[in-house]
Amino acid sequence: MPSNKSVSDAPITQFVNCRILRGSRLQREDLWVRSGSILDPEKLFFDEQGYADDRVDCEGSIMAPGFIDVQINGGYGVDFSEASEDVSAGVSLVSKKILQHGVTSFCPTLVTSPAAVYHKVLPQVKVHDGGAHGAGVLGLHLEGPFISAEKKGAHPERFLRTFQAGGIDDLMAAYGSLDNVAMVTLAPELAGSQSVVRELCRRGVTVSLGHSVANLSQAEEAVDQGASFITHLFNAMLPFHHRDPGIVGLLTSDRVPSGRTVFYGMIADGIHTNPAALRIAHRAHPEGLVLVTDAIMAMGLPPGRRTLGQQVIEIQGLHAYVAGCSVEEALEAASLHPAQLLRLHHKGNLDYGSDADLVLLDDDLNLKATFISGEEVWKKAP
Amino acid sequence: MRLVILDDYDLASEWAAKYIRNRIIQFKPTAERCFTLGLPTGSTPYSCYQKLIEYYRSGDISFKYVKTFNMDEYVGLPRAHPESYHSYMWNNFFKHIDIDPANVHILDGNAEDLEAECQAYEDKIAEAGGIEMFVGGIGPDGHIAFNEPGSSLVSRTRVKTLAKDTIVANARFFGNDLSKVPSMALTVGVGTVMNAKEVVILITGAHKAFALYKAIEEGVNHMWTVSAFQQHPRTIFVCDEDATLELRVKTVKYFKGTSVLAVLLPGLSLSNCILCVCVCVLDISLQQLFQSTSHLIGVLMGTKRCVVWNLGKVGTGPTLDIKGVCMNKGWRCIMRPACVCIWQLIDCRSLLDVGYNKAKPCA
Repeated sequence: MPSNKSVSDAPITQFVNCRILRGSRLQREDLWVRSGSILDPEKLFFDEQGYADDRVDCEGSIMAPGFIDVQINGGYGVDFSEASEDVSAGVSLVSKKILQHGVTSFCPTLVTSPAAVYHKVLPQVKVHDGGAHGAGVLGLHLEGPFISAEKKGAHPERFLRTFQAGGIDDLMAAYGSLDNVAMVTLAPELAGSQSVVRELCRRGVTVSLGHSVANLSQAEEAVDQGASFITHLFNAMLPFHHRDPGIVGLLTSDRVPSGRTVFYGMIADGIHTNPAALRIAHRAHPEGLVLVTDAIMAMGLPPGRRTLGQQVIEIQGLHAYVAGCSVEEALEAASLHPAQLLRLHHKGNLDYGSDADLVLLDDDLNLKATFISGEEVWKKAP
Repeated sequence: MRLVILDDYDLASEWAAKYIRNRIIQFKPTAERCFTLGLPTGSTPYSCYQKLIEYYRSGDISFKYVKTFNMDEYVGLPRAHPESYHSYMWNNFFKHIDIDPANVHILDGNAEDLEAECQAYEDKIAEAGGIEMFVGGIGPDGHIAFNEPGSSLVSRTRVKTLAKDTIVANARFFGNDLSKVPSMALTVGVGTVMNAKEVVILITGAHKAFALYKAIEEGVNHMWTVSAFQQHPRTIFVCDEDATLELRVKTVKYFKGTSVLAVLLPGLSLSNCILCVCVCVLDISLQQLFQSTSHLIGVLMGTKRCVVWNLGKVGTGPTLDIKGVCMNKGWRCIMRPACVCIWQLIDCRSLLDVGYNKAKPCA
């Protein structure tokens, strides 16, 4: 086909010979991209009488939406909770490095920290699009400090806080500003938290429940007020009990308002959660599963002593991924569901008009190439 | 009229696809002289389109200089609707081939002025030099395109209200909800299709058998609009066994019996061709040879090309395709019942290439 620059200035790329994830199925279809968005080729054909300028042969690979990681504390020596002078450089480094894992958008996560750290770090991190320079930043995820002391996990106890009379004002005092914040994790059993949940949702911030000893009705109350996520299910919460399932019960609760989905993050490394427990959660509520790394600054670095915010931890060994569902479901858990959680309709899917953030995978789900806005930003060395 | 009867739907589709393919190649279309093709939609031509896509993928044919004109489109259905004929043609044909979008014409059922749209369509056909070959199907009520019973046999492209039969037949694509099926459509007229140089009608399935009977064994009648093609100089009806169920045995035998060795030898040059004819005379009689399935073997000679059509079921014989390079393990296979092949090879080299040396003489 001759080049078609007369139809539009922006070049049109056609990815052929691939199996794309669309409609929860892998289909043998071509994917068309123009100006960073996925194009409807039928409209192009009939309305504009256009056709592709370039063809990229995917050699039969799987093409999925780029992965979205909503919980990542740092990596490659960078700790997002560290109050350094140049936080954005650290964010940029991580955003560039995670391209090789197929992550095209992410939420830099801060663990419980003193107010001074929040006041210093938050203004330096801005929401921005990804590109050749790195994955896109969707906003910060603030995990703590309004969490339960009994379920603090790796968070430092001395910086935990509760809501005093002020509710949302206490939260604003702790963080400084909510600009560029995409998600906040808090414990819903804390007094005064319900009004905070409501106010945060009103401001467009996703509220997540985690590091909590809440029972099921407290959790359901928070969902009523607008909470929509559970931070690393099973970890840092009361275990499932058949007379009070706690936060875990949200997966099958009938008090979740209709039309709303409660999503839950899973660290599927086989260590944080037993694979059998992961499968129980997946089977109970497959549409809510969101894969997260909860990676720390030691990711990508050799073993040794590292800091996580204000803590010091030891790193040993490797992590492993655990499969337990179909390929399509796994891919959706890493891309579509996080996008749905953050209400980003143009990400996490390969529908017409969506952002062309893509990953090419082989049949074993090893990454072959990463694209942001249709541009190749990482390719596996042959 | 030619009536080509194949054993089943797949073979009928393959025959038709090969015929279309070969005609396009023979025409040698160029940028200045495109091959204009009229196209149908529906379940009948689906497999034919699949085959054409296959031939494109294997490099046998290009649609770069082919202009297409579809027969019809629903009125009022959004173009992006999965049941619109635009969607059908895109998903089942255009997106898989190298056709130029500017050469594709489908009536717009959402045009502001439907009559002007129809007139413009006729003008576009005239501008393109007329239709070289119109491929069509037949409805259970004998209609061609949406020319429902009672349509004028000299009609042109226009708006038509759909008959109840047609709406019922199409309901299966709209979740069996009659209210969702569009009630009007734009369609080429019977006269429009009659103006084509050649017409190929695909008819498969027992539910079309009565319509086929009315179309070819009864008179020309506007209640069975396909019957108009009895008056066209070049019409081929391609059907499967099931579609012949309402025909007279005599008709079927006649057309199956014309497994004519139709040999067209324009520009034959003896000095550079070798003509081989093998006829199986071994353990079967000539009558048996022609009995079970219908064959029509045509040979087209083009310069430096060996084109052999095996236009019928071959049984266990070879299928020689357009590159002329298949040779199914020697003469014996070719000698199998019901197979008649004519080769015309342009030079000895290609004869050797196809393994002539390996062929054993008739036993």
